[in-house]
Amino acid sequence: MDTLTLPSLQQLEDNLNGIIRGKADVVRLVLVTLLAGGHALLEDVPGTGKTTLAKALARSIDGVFRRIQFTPDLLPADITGSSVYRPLDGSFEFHEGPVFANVLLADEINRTSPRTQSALLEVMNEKQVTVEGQRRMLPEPFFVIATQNPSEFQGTYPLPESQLDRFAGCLTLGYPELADEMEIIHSRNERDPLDTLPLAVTCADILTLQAEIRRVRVDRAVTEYALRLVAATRADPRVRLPVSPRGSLILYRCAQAFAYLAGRNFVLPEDIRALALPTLAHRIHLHAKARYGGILPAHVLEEALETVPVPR
Amino acid sequence: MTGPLITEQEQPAASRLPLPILAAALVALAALCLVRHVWVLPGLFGLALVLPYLVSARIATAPARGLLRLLLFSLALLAAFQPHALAQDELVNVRWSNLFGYLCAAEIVVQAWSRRPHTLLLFLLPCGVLLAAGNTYDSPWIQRIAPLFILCLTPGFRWYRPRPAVRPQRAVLLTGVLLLATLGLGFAVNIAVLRYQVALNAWGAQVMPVASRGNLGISLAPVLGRRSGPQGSSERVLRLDGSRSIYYLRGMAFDTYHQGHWTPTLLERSIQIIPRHTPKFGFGSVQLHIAKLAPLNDLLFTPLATGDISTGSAINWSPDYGGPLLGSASKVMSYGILLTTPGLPSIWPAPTPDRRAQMLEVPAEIDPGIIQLARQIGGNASSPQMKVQKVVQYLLTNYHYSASIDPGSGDPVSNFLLMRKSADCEYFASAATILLRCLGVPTRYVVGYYAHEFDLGSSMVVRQRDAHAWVEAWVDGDGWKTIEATPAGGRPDARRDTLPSRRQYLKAWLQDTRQAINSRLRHLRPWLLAIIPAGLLLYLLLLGWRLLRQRRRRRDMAFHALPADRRLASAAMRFAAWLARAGAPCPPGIPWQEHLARLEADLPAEARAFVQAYNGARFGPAQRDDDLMALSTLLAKLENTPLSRPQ
Repeated sequence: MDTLTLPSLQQLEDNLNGIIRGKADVVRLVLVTLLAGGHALLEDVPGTGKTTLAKALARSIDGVFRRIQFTPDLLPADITGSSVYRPLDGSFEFHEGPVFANVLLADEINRTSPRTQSALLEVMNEKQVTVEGQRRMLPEPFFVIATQNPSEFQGTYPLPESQLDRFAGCLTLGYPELADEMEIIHSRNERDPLDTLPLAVTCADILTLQAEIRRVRVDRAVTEYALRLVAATRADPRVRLPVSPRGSLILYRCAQAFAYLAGRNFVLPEDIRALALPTLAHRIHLHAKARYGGILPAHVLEEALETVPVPR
Repeated sequence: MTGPLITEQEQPAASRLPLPILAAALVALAALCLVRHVWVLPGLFGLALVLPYLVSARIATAPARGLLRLLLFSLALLAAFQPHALAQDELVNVRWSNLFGYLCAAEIVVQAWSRRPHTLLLFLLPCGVLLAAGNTYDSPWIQRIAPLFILCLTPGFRWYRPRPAVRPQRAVLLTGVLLLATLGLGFAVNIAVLRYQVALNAWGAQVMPVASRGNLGISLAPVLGRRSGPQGSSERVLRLDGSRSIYYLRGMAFDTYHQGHWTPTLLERSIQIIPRHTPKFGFGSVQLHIAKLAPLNDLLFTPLATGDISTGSAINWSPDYGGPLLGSASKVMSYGILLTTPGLPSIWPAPTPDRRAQMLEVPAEIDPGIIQLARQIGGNASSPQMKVQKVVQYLLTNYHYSASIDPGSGDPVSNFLLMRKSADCEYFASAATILLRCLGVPTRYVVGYYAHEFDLGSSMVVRQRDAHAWVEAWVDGDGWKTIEATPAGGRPDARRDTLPSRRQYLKAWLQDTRQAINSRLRHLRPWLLAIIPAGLLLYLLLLGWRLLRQRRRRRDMAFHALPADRRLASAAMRFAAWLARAGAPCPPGIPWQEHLARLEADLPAEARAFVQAYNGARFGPAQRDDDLMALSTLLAKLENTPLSRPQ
């Protein structure tokens, strides 16, 4: 069988495209990140639909949706949950924190303290919470959409490189086109489209798909191509911190998911190229001289994409 | 994390000798070992050349290299002036040539351990080592090793870049032309030296006043000089088949003695040609068949009682002086002997009056006491046979054999007879010759081989150490007689070692097999023989081309260019070529699909269809023949579609 296409996946994508107009590529990337088992970081200005996207995703997969609005005074226990004393019987009852959800929107993650950030990121990595020595697993699938405002710097705690590296993709929604914005306004004239969003897939389906995607074939030449792109970042003298092996692995998984969503059971070099910027750019950190020279990590990747030969 | 990351790729790798240079240097050192029979210092040098491939440390500073140079040069000096047991034909003094070779080898080692070796020296120094090894023009090893040396060194030219690099394509062409030219020159020189080696040897003997010793223990111009021990090895030189008997195989005879020298030399003799004649016997009925097992000169060693000889080609000889018999320049490797019978006399004629007079001459430098001694020994003998018997008996009784000889001052034979009384077979034979001449018996001095060792079956084997000297006397009415005047302890059979080891037997078997193959090949026509090397050369060229092609293909297949499946690779190359013809060559960093999407030109729909089908076949789970057929069909359509170049 040459293609693997599930109508439900198409429905899921249509659901999201119906809510987030004119951003089909970003929607697909979010789905890729979800199916690859990673988490997404949306770096965008307020009001572009980040929360709406997360809600739409949660409703489409019949999952639990939680939102955390990060503030500087937020504590780790506010995220993971804590035990509360019950005076009636003198016991402690664990109250789950908002992380116990299928889709978690971590809004403005850069506004909370590094301690709280690391608590969330630890949860993202291990998909479990340990409180008072007791381990509690998070529901599956567990997908985090974190957001941060790229234009505000006062009172923020930028995510360090090692924590940025844990996000599979760093995406930007951006402002919609005029026609799309018109459509957005009209679609919300009478009711909220989120209320009538049909169920597309279940959480169990998502888990099945995540396992299915690992069977998508990646030719050795394509793998080498991906690794050579990564190697190019490591050899670039302008790069202070290049892509890590975690980045290579995420690129590999996302490429499989991307191919799967395109209806193929094999990965093409085009898939690697399409995912290189979203999955690798936020992992590259430049020397100060390069930054002040106006070089961006995306420029480094674009140069690599132009120069590294593509397998044929 | 601050500061740049330094990876291991950024540190310069330790320099190493290019592999061809290393191979050439090792071959030259091996030549030095094999020709000079020295192993320790060349072996150490060879090891020192290989070690840089295993360790990355180098000698960075000039003073340290100078110190190493001093140490190695000192070793070379000590090793070069060690006494050598074997003395072979040499163009210059063997010690100086050894020193030159060791110094060159030492400098190669210094260069190998330097950070930046001098490229030109790396080419010249191995040549110096080989020159030192080739100081002797008589060693067969140089004939075999020199072509190998050239083959090893030639590919190293690609590392020699005295000028800025030219364009890659031109550099490849220049390298190929240089390789062919060097190979051709090397082969031409080798063939010329092999073909004209006799003339070169003769010219060398004329030019240089060196007492030339014959091959492997036979002296073509004997000199009674200092000896420092037994000479000769167990290397086989001749094999005799057909008769198991003791034979004195004569090489050359000399009838003129002067101050320790026996003459005339080969150049001083008039040579006659015996045309190739139909032998009086068939090859299968020869009584004695002699095969050369080592590349001796053209002497044909025959017993005195030779009635006829057959080599399959013309023979040169000098009958007046009792020989020698010489094969043709094409190196006779085996020949048949028919021994004398009552109806078949010996080929050696009676001496002419001049030669008879020469064979009776007692040189003026002989001490008068010798003449007196001779009269004392055999003055009252009634017949030549009796005189011979008395002289031989006297020598065997009163003199003893010794391999270490100091001739002293004056005439060596006189000193031996009157004072020293111990010497080797050359002195005994010379003394017997002089004594018999004093008694009026015409005699001549003969050098050759003493065949005594029986081998398997009906064979006999003659080794280098069986070189011997004896006397031949002319007895009126009886002809030529062989006279052995050396004590039994000094004869080759007395010095015989124990039975050869298994390794020596194996080596002998290999030699015999090669001899048999050579003998069969000699009967083939030249054009048939030429097919074999030509075919081998062609095969090597094809193999080399195929290996290069595979290497390039493997390099391409390793990553970016072509798939492992040849049909897909062919399709990819054809499509790339089609794109180029269509004026839309695809950059190597862009996939075809993306490239086609970027193009503004209106390319045929088959192009996109091809790319889609190709991607499926190339990167998909399995290639089916149908997919490949479809690709081929699409390609054919594209290639047949007229192209309109994009704007």
